[in-house]
Amino acid sequence: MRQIMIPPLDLLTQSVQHLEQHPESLRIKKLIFFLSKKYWEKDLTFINRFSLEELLQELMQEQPTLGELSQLLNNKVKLLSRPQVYAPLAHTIIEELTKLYLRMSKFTAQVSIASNDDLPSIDYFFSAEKIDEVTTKIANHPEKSRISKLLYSASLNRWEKNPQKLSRPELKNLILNLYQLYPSQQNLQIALSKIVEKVSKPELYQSIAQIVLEALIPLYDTQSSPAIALEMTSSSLPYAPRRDRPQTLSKNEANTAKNKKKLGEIPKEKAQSSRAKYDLFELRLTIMQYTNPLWAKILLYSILIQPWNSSRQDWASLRSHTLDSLMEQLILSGMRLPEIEVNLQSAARSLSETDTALQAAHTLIETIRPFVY
Amino acid sequence: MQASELIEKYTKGERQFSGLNLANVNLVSADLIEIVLEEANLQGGKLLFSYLNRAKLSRANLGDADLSGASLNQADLGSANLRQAELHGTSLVGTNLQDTDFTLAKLIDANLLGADLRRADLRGAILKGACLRGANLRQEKKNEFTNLQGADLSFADLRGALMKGVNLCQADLRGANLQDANLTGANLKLANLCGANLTGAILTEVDLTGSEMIAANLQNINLVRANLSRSELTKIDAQGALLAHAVMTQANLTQANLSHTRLNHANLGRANLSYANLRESDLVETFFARANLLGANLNQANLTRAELVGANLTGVNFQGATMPDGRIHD
Repeated sequence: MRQIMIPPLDLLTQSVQHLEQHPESLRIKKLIFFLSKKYWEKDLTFINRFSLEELLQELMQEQPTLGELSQLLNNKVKLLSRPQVYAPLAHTIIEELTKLYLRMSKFTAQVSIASNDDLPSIDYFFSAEKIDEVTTKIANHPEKSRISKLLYSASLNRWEKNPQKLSRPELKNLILNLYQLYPSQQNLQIALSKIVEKVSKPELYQSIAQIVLEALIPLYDTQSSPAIALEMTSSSLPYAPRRDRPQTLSKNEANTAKNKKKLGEIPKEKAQSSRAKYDLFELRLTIMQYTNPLWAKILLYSILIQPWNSSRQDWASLRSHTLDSLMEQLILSGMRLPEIEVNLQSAARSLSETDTALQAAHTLIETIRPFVY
Repeated sequence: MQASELIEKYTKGERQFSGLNLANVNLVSADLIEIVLEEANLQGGKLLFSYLNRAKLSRANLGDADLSGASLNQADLGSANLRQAELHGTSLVGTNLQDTDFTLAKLIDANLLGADLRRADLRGAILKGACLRGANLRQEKKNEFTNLQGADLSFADLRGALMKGVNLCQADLRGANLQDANLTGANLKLANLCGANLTGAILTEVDLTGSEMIAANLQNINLVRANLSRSELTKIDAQGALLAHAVMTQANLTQANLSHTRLNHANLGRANLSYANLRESDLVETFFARANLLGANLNQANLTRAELVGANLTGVNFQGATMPDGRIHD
């Protein structure tokens, strides 16, 4: 789900060409393979099944900022048996990527939100209206300036001293970028907490982070994050950092933040929408023990996202969801049991292997029965 | 051989198809229970939703094959090649996967309950949401271990898995459930365990250098003699953990809950323990040189012969603590 900073092909091609023309291009590719696939592959034939473009793209999805990427490269080179050979090559890669990131930052600055339409797999979860809604909320907020600083830092890894110049399309871009970088509220929360710890006024920015998290709720609302579920459902899995100590805010912020939810807190109406508390690991285990997990996923996908037609896009989208996240989405959807039963059975009947799918539907219904009305 | 011919022979009762060349074969939804395809070439085969329960596929070539939703329960895939294979939601319950090559394979939401993965190669594989409960990945001989380097195991169910000596270097274990798993001597260098559940897990002598474990649940974990140097351990809940002789130099333990832990002889040199809770912990001969204990709670902790010289002790609560010289703090 991390659709991050994928550079346009022509920008990437330049970098690829430069790296391929390098006298040590083979070792460079080996090193980039190691970084993107996270293991050292000795078989060159196997490495050559991947193009340098796709390896670089993968790497940049994982490490959206140049800072992170450089740090990763420097750290990983030390793990190799011959760091002295690879260190200069790491330097070459960083140099090339610096140029690429520079070209990209110029490019993204020029691109408006409209041109991001072709980003797949996130379009199920929020519409342009939701992005607009969030942008308006932040643009009109009295703390817009500080919010923007935080957004800049979380999204582009730099501290913008003069965010006043931020135009509405730029703000929109920042928000979208942030959503792409942090696919769940929990990821975003952890990222913001890390920034807050480093700034000179942590208490003040703690409450700004709170505002950002709340403002972005509409984007995350339709796609329930498994991380949130974990915190809600199982006290043994505290994914979200807990607030052991009360956060002291500056005078101005204390009042505004007083009645607001703590970071990562689950909206009450959601937490109470299910009958019993559930443990996603147990639910998954039950499903896996009694039915085919893939049929279960296809059925959930059919009733929650769109009818299954086995298209390439359906498969790609299905892979971006986990069984857990789909189960959670169903429980939190507010759908009542009779409706779920009808929908699942109807979805099963529309699939080619109806009997198998009906059996999977039956297992799903029995598994979630205690947790829905 | 064509798929139709194979199915026809199988329907007539034939089971032995070893060594056949079936590259790119289309066997979607085929019922081939107990088929014998040892050393067969099924490279790039389409085997979605096929029934291969108890099939004999040892040393078969299934590289790039699509086995999504297939059922391979109790099958034998020992030493098979499954490089870059698609195993999305595949059932591999109790399957023999010893020495199997799963490099870069995709096993999202796969069911590997009780599977035998000893010495399997899973480098860079995607096991997101997979169920590996009770799976066997145990190292038996030096230099022969299951390799999960760089694998994505986020939200995987690894409860009670036998993972002694496994290589999990750089693995993504965010939100994974490792409750009661045995990872003795495992390599977890630079692994990401943020939000993971490790309650009651055994991690003696593991290498967790440079790992990230923000907000992980480490209650009652056994980390004796583990190396956690330079780890990011902010807000971990390690209540009741065994950390004797652990090396935690330069680790970030800000706001960590370390109450009732045993940290005897642990090395916390230059560690950041600001606002950490060390209430009633055993800190006999623990090394705190240049550690930052700003605002930490050491209420009733036992610091006998602990090395506190050079540590930042601003705002530390020592109430009822046994100090290095044996004196009880007021």
